[in-house]
Amino acid sequence: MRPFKFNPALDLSESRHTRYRSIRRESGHLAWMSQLITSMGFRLYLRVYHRYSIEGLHHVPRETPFILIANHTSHLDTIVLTSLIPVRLRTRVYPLAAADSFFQSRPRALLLTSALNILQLRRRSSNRHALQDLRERLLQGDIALIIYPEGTRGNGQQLGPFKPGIGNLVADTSIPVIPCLLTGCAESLSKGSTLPRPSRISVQIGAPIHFSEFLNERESWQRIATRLSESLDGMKKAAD
Amino acid sequence: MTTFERLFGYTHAFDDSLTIAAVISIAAVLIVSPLLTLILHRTGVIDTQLRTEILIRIRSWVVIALIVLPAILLGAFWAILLFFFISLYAYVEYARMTGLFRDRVLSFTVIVGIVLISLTVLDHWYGMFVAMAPLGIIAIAVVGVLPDRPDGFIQRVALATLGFLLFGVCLGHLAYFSNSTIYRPLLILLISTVALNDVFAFLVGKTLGKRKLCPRTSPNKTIAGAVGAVILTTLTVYIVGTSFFELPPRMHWYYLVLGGVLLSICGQFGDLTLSSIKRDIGIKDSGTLIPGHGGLLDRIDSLLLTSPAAFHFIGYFGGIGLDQSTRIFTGS
Repeated sequence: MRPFKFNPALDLSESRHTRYRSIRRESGHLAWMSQLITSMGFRLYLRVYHRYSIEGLHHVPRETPFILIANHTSHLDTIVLTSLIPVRLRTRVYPLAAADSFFQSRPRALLLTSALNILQLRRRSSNRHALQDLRERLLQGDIALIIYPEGTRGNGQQLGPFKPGIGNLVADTSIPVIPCLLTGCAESLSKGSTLPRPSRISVQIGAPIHFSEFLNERESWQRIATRLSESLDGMKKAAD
Repeated sequence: MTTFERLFGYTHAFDDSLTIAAVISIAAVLIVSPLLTLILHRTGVIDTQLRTEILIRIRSWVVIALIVLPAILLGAFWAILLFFFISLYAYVEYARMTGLFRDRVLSFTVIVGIVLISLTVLDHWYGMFVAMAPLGIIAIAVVGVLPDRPDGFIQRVALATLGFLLFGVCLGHLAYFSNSTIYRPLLILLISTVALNDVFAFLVGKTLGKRKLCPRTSPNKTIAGAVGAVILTTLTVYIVGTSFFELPPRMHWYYLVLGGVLLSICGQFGDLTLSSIKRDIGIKDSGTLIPGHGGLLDRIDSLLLTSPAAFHFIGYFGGIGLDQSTRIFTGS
């Protein structure tokens, strides 16, 4: 169990207009309640409509910090991955999303942050700084992240190249990275379509990988990205 | 006055002469002060930056007046609803300040307690309203024990209890005034005197103040300001009390003076209480809700201790809402 911390919320000094898109955002009471309700709703939806199956759920840690990574093919991915998280941890697990595509409109951004707990990352400008902030929050042990290292949605056939940013978060730390392979999401809700089709979705969760022996420098970030890409590729080949 | 008339009877909004006088003077102040600021800026007494700051503050005051005054005037139901949201938001701000919000279940328990207190106020069930304080503490202690993690138990449970007592119970007294038939003048008098008390302390302190009151808690407060506020607020309460209210026979003039002193001292200590909390945590503002002021708590801090003190002071002499039917929903 995480000890109680007598600390103000990290985003206390942010105004209501900037809080929802801050990298330091912490879910409040309303987000907690909406996430309790939506996560139950999403689980029911996935079970009934997509008859989804999970393999290796015991690999998901019961305590923060950790990082879930997955292949990204569909908007359903985030819903599937958040449903793997124990409800107790739900508000402390933040899926990362690109600020430019997800947070264009304010109502949409508020909906996504309150229901799915999405944390936004600007893709180019001030990226380094944001990653450093995230790394510190991870090291303090209060949060977990859901990341798509490809950085964008792929075609569902082949994995795209992994971005090295993930290496910046986990190099030289004991934060476990858990690779998850999603199958069927692209068939259910492909790029460009709006309504999901009721096809089967399955998740395979691999064993946690640690990167404590990697130095926190640019060159090893790339090696970490390659290493993760290989492990997810291996899972995909074994599944096919 | 029937219960329904008290709760929703907007036609009674201006029954009391104090309500009319107060609304007119508040409107006058809010219209004159921005004009005065602009004139002072034109004549070169204040610079542009100060002008902008003052105008932002006044704009926030206008918004506050436009929310609070209609809620009080339109009927007791709207006043109770407003004070419920104020209690709730004040607690949420407090929870985010202290980190208590990370203990979701405990924090949720306090919120449920605040909802229940507002319901007992609306119900006019004084017995249950009083019982909510100990019952809330029971609930907080039980919920605190349940996760079986004694580390930090005192911190979490004490924080939740203090939050519940300050923002649920103490602020609940402000809402409970609404069960009186003369709640409009009472609430307007209370809220505006407490606001004036802050202004008096600030102005007297600026002009006469030398020695600091408690520099480690709040560096800007002076002894002269505190004493000046007590004198001026007491004078205000005395003048308004004798000229606008039909005082109960037991209430001699010196009780009114005592009430004014009590109001002023509790207002200043409420302010210092929040300052101490913020200083302990190491933050400057409790939030960002009100531009120019900080968080909601920074604005209502003086009301925290004043509400129960004024409630029980008035209750001792005349009672609150004794002529109204009680237990509107739960009674038979």
